[in-house]
Amino acid sequence: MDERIKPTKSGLFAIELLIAVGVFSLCAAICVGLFVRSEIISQDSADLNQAVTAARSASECFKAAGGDLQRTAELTGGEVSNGVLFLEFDGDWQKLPAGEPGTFELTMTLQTAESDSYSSALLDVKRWTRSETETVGESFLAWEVAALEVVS
Amino acid sequence: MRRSSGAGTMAALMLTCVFGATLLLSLATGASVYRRVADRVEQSAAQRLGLTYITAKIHSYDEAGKVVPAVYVDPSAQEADAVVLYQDIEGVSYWTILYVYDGWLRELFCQEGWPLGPEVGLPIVEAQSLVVTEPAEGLLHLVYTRADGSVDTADVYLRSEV
Repeated sequence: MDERIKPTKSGLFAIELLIAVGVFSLCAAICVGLFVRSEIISQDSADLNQAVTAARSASECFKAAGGDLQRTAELTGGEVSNGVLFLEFDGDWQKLPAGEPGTFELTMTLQTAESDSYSSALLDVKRWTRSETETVGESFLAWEVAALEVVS
Repeated sequence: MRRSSGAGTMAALMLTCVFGATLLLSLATGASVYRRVADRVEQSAAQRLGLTYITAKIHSYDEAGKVVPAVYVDPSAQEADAVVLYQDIEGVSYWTILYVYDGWLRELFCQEGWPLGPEVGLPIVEAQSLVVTEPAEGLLHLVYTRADGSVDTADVYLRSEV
């Protein structure tokens, strides 16, 4: 009745190995998670860098146009719809023709002029994620741009 | 007893294989992610070093009439765009010329009018070309082609022109 099953050497080795594999798998899962996170951060950083470049160019054009959105659209190659300037970019930040929906979208919305010689606009850069069921836009850069002299 | 020991050995062997495969997989994933991250950092740096260097220079020299888009002719009689930045130091006029020559974005700083060739300019970063246009008064449109062929564009408005 008091017979006990004695573990074999290979059985003990297998259990030890199983524990080692389990611990390693856990570490590997954490590492892969960190890798994926670093990939996302790196991509976000590159996108932000490109967005700043695009936003800076659009702001310079807005200033050169004296706060006129239509003129800004002509200089930047965008289009104005309902008082908002749209600039579309593909996933590699190459400018798309006006009206073509892109992965990244820069918009400029004219603010009410606070004085006769001051005009400002809200500049916003969105990343669009499109699926079959829905389209989600995530804003990741927002500036307020001012043109000091308004062209009348 | 022998059969049970053989099965245990097989199980241990399989676990070792799983262990090795997981190790290789995580190493491969890490290497792949690292390569992509390094590539992106390199690209961002190339963009910053080239185009942002030019725009920062233009802004720092932004005085009325001190930033002028120009064309230079290299020794093989080829024309290329350049940005000329003027400055006065103790009554002497100097210019800084930014241009692409022989596969490099270069900067040449010397006394105004000195007949120096484009090869004398200090190489900043490898690049293919720089095109400068003025689509509106005081607005410079820069098209900069990096060494790898990627094209970056930027607009710079000269505030002092207003």
